[in-house]
Amino acid sequence: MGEFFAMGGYAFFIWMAYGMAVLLIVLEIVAVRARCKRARHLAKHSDVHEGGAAGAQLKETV
Amino acid sequence: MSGFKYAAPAQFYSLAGKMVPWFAVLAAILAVIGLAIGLYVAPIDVTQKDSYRIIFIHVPAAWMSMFLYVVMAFWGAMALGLNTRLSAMMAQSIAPTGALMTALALWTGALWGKPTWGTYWAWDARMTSELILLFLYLGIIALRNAIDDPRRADKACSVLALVGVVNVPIIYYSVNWWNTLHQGATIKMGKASIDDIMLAGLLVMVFAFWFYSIAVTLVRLRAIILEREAGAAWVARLAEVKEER
Repeated sequence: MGEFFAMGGYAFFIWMAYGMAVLLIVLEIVAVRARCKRARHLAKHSDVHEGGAAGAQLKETV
Repeated sequence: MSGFKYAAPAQFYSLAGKMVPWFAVLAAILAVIGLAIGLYVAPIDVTQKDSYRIIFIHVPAAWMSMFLYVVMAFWGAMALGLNTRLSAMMAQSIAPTGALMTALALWTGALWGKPTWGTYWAWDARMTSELILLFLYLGIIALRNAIDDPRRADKACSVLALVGVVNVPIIYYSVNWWNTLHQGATIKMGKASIDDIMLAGLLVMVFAFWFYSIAVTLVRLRAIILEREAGAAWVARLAEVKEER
């Protein structure tokens, strides 16, 4: 087990690389979930305009 | 126009919601297999010993950083040419994940460069053009945040993304055009200069990164659709919006 984590003496480089990958992915997942929650909150407390979004849609093609 | 059915944000919102769990689960399974191969099953490299194992993060991240940029620029072009809102939202959704992949490619590259080349960083063509890619992603994100009107932000970001796409072939061919520090491609059509099990682990990790990117950009796209469609009747009728406090 210790041999595995030692990575033949390259432990610092290997685990800094893999560790950053895990850290960034976890942070992105947390951030994007928080953004979804904020967006649902915003949508809940927005005045509803029947038929479309609040923004101008006149030039919309689809 | 049945082919454009899912081009409308309202339809795509629910479709994306159904797609996310599949891509997320696939990404997780492939990541576990890829990590097991990359860190344990694959033998050590003759010249680089265990340090080469960074390849299983570095190459997928670097490929995704370029691929996501092209996809983002494609949706930007669609948004400009067809004036479709969903295309612009897709481009908007990809930028942060693209920036993450680029940062990860640079970080892991530096950590691989030190034990193999003796330096964390050099102003080599491949590394410099990848750094420019990071600045392009960050510039596009900053540009959007600087413009209040979303439709104007869509146009500005699409133009910047399209101008910046010229950087992608420069990154890709840099190792052939300039003979500097970064090595040439390990995997070419028809032959790879690495062992089969190493190649298998690498491809599994590439697919894991790919499916992760799809899953996370679809989740972000759903958030963007809600942000920009807030006030629409269909959004107000969504169960998850009604249940939100």
